[in-house]
Amino acid sequence: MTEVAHRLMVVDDSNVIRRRIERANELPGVEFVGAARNGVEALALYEAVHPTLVTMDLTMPEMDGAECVAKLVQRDPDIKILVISALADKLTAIDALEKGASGFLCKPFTDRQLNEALRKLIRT
Amino acid sequence: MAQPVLSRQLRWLPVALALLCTTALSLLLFTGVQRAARLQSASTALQLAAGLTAQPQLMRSELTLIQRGLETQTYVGDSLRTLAGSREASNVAYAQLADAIKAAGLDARSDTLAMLDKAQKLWAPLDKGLERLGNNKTGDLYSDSAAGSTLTAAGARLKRSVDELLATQTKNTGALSRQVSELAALLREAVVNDGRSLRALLLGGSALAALLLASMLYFSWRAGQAARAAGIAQRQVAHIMGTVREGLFLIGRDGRIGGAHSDSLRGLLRVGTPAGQDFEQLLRPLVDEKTLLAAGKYLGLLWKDKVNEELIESVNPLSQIEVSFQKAQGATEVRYLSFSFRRVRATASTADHVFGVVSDVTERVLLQRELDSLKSDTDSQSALLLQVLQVEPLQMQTFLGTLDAAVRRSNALLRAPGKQRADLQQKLQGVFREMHSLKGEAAALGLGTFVRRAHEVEDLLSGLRKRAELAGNDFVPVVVRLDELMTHGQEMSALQERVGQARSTAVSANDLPPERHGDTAVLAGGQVAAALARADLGPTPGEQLKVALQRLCAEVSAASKRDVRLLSEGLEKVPASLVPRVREICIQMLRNSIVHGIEPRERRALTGKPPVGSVRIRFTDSDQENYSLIVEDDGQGLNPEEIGMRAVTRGLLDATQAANLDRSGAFRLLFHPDFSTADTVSEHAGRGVGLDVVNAAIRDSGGRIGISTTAGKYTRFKVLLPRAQAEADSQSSAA
Amino acid sequence: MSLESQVAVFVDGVLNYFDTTVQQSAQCGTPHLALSDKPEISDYTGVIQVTGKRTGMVAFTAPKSMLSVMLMRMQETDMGHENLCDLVGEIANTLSGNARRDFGHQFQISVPSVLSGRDSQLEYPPDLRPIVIPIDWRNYHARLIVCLGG
Repeated sequence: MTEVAHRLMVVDDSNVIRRRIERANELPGVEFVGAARNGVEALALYEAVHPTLVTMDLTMPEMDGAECVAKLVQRDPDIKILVISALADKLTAIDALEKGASGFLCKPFTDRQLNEALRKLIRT
Repeated sequence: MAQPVLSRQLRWLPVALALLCTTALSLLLFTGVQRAARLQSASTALQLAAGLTAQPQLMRSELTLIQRGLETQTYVGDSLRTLAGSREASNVAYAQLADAIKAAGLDARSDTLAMLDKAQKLWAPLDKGLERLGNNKTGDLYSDSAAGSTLTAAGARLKRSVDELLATQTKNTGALSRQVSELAALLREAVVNDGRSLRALLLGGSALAALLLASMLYFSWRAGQAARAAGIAQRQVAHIMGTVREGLFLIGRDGRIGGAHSDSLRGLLRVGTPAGQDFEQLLRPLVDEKTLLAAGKYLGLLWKDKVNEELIESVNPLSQIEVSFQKAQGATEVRYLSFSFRRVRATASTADHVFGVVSDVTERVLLQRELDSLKSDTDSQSALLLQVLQVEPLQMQTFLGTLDAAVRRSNALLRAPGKQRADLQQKLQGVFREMHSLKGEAAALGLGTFVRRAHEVEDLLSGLRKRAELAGNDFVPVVVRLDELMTHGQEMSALQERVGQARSTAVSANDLPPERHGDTAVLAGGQVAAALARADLGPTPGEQLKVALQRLCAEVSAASKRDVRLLSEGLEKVPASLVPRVREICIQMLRNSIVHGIEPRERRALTGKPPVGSVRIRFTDSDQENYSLIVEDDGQGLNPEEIGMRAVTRGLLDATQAANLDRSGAFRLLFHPDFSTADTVSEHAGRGVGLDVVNAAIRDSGGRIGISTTAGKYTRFKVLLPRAQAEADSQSSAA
Repeated sequence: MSLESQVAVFVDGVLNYFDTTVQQSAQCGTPHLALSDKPEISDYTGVIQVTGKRTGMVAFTAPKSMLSVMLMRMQETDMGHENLCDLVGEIANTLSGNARRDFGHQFQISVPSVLSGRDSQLEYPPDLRPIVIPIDWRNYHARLIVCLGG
């Protein structure tokens, strides 16, 4: 597992959350490659850094997370996306998973929960 | 999972075993047949060898006989023929012996052949000699003369041959005899050995056959057993599928329901044959579009191995859905179903079925709804209207003012800083007093909707009071109820305003309105007008108080199943400024007297008291310094010991303190916030806040309270309220 | 769902936010109604407008010092105005988003708006009495303001 490098991109409109996810990630083999503030930025950044692993907020200005998930999966069907959102209802989660996300983490979260969710994501 | 694998392996075991046994057995039989043939040859060889053993001696004896016969000129023809026969037989025997030894496989043993060879070599010269002997003419061996018989030339030749043969071959015949008997011995040994091994072989064969038979029997028994077990299991599965109330089913990759499902699935989904039908299509007519969309997406996720099962389960949108079934004549029946799904994997990698369970949760859902609606029960408009009409407008306004003030005071308590346990308890008690007092006011006016609301807040607070841990957020329901209480007051105020407008247009009075607020009679326009007309009479505050207390007495005695008569005196003399205070005190004391003082009718009869209890309230203003208010009941009186005991169970005193409790100490306990002598909590008593409220009201007025009581006879509370304070209060409120 | 359970959802949400994000519990004071006066607001206020089964607003208002310490506990080094706004908005957003678990998908929430400064004006829906829940964390005092109707 330590051999395989995962390239992590963080998408969230909150600067505080973006920086927190970047800091909190302590998984071996997971390398932070960039952060975006919304869906449009995320797609542009994708072309530049080609991440394999993404954390994705849902409620964002410009392009929202669900739409961005669908577009990223279109570009790379093997990309692993962890949706991190405060929207805790089932339909939101189903929608994101159906669009191609592989995991769902509810805000607020602890660093441990974040790492656990990323670890699960890499394993699937 | 281990069980089926094992049984799958077991199924091959009997076949393999039978195959093995059969192969072994045929191999064994084949060897046996071979061995038997060899044994036969060996025993033939033995017979031949045994026959040959005697031949050399026999031939020697014949030769000797011929020799003697020739000497005595007796007939030797027979012996010659015997000898020739023996020679021929021996030659045949030697040839056969060689063949038999080969057939018996004994030629592999070099000693056997060597021995045979040696014997044949010893036989060969003898054979030659005998051959020559046979060539001699046998006739005219003797010629008879006077001197006796003499040998003829032929006889002499024969005698020479015989003598020669005997002379040369005597040694050989012995050797040959030994040699052949040695061979015979060897052959015998071989026969015995072969016989023994053949026996062993046959024994082994029988054993194998027996084993085969036994295993066949065992496995056929087992197969029967397994078939029976499978039959039982199948019947049990059928039984389960037939009786289980949940709908159990499988969905294949094509989205269709599998052939095996529980019988109840038909009833739950109202479908005759669910097997083979598309699950989503089955749902389509039953649910709204949103649910259907979510269901479709969700079922799709179940096949996506990218998403783990735990997450899948947590987002199931069908865990509780409303379905509507079309019934005859366009009617629909609404039910609530709960679905859950799990992936079924035959191999570790991908799911090949989805296992679904559906159950009808309608009853549970409806029960929950009912509970929820009980909580947020809205009062019927007519009940509200009745309340408005029953209460004098001024009184209602006063009450609404009291309500507003009580809620504000409660809110101020909550707003004050402090979240330590003691602070919270203090807030709790403060709000409790406000609500209890408000409830009394509402009850005195017959405002049932307010009584119920205030009582609910009390319920909440007394629930909180018992908690070991208390936090600020425990007060959320309280503050929401206060908000509701305020809203309810606003509603009532708006309603009163509307009625006020109606009053100006009211023309005549026909009927009296229903007496009690709980009545749900729908008011006709005429009744409204009548009630309004009555509301116009405008009694004084003192008179209103009297009416209110009468109403309260009727309410409380009905609720607590007592028969009580209220006699009041001098209430019309209460100065207006003092009315709220006196009202507050009277309400709590009256309630207390009825619930804690007056005994049930039967008990009163037993002690010779009049069946209907009485409570007297007397207000006097004759004293220069104090107004006096006396509330007296002819009930069971106060029992200091009982009070002490209850204080112990309430945790207010320990046993020693209770034992040393004096009369006045006991009575003081009555005013403790946590003290109550009624056993059940009702809207009217049981929380022990009543006298606490009285005490607070008297303290605020700078007054005093005294108790006199006789067990079994009466209880009298005497309250003194200083005139000076009352006048000051009235002036400050006027300003 | 009754109003009291709805208010409780928000209160639990705030307490949970502190437990998970800064891993230090906050205490809730006794809630009260904002009767005649509008509730005071603090240095930073995150506001979410909600529509759906209930309509109204939810706000979280906290002093600068409290938000700064919260950022510190999240190992954030930049305690500038931007990040303070960001945090208070994120808190309001998280609370409202979490509420969808109990209120359902119908419950729509807006993108958070952030007010800074104690004299900013918070818009309240008319005819509703806001419920104010004091939230104390360490020595700081924040408030959750829930104002939901219908």
